[in-house]
Amino acid sequence: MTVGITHLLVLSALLFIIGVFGLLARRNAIAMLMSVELMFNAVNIALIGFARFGYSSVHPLTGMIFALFVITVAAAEVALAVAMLLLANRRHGTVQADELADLQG
Amino acid sequence: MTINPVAFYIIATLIVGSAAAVVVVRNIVHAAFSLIACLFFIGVLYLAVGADFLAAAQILIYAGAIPVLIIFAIMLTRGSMTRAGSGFIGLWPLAGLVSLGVGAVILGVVAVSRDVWRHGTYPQDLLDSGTTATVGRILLTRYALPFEVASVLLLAALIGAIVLARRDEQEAAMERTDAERREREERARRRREDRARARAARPGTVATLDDDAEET
Repeated sequence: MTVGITHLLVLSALLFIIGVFGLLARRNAIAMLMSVELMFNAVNIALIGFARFGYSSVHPLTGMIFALFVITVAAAEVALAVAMLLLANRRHGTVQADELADLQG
Repeated sequence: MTINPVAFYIIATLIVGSAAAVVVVRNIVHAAFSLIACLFFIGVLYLAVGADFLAAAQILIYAGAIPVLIIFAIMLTRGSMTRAGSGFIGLWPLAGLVSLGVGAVILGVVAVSRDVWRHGTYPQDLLDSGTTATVGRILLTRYALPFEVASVLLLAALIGAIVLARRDEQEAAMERTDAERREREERARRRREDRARARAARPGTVATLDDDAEET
């Protein structure tokens, strides 16, 4: 059986599940950030799969351009998230997500 | 050019295994290193499916730059390295259930729609020469506007990160007055101790702190 787009999509789905679980279940905000990175990469694998095995009427490499923009956005997101975590750590002395519950009534 | 199934399964196992380690491992530094391994293996996968430019970008940015930021965040936040207790919230079985549901939806969509889209493959010249030249060309022609928007986004994120991470003036002033008050108290305390010691050294007097009350 040759490797096709279904293989890449299943791999992408597995990675996405792992990322969702980490985002929901971990207490440390930095670990949650790492789980978000896993989810970005799951999407990128799917996009590369579509570029490689799918059919695009616009350009065969459109999926790769999308993946490139996802990497760019992820870099910006990580920079901002790290700045916010440092700020939260300075104000509250912790980055455990369940202790940063100021908005809770 | 087809992908070797054995190679694909080995790479996929490594990716899923290291991703699971990122989520499950309790020590956050180990999780960060596992994340580096996972992102590197994904770059290898890109190489295996013939996305050479993306593989380079993945390893440079994702396996190189982003983990550096994350490890800096781990270093600079107190207590996240030596935190006792489980790394999971109490409701983690519910989180597992939700993620399984999400996965069921995704896999269901994949199973239902696998015959809907048209299958294709790279044109032969892309397989022969690699994708870098073509990616560069269409990035600066057809996708020039998103490219410029992405640069504005990066600039905005850079400025935002600096604004967030730098101490604002009110905070700095508060810390300054705090430090001054601490210093004043320290000086007063030392003076008091000196006087008490001097009085204790004088015979016939009883060392007392009562008459220093105006200093506090």
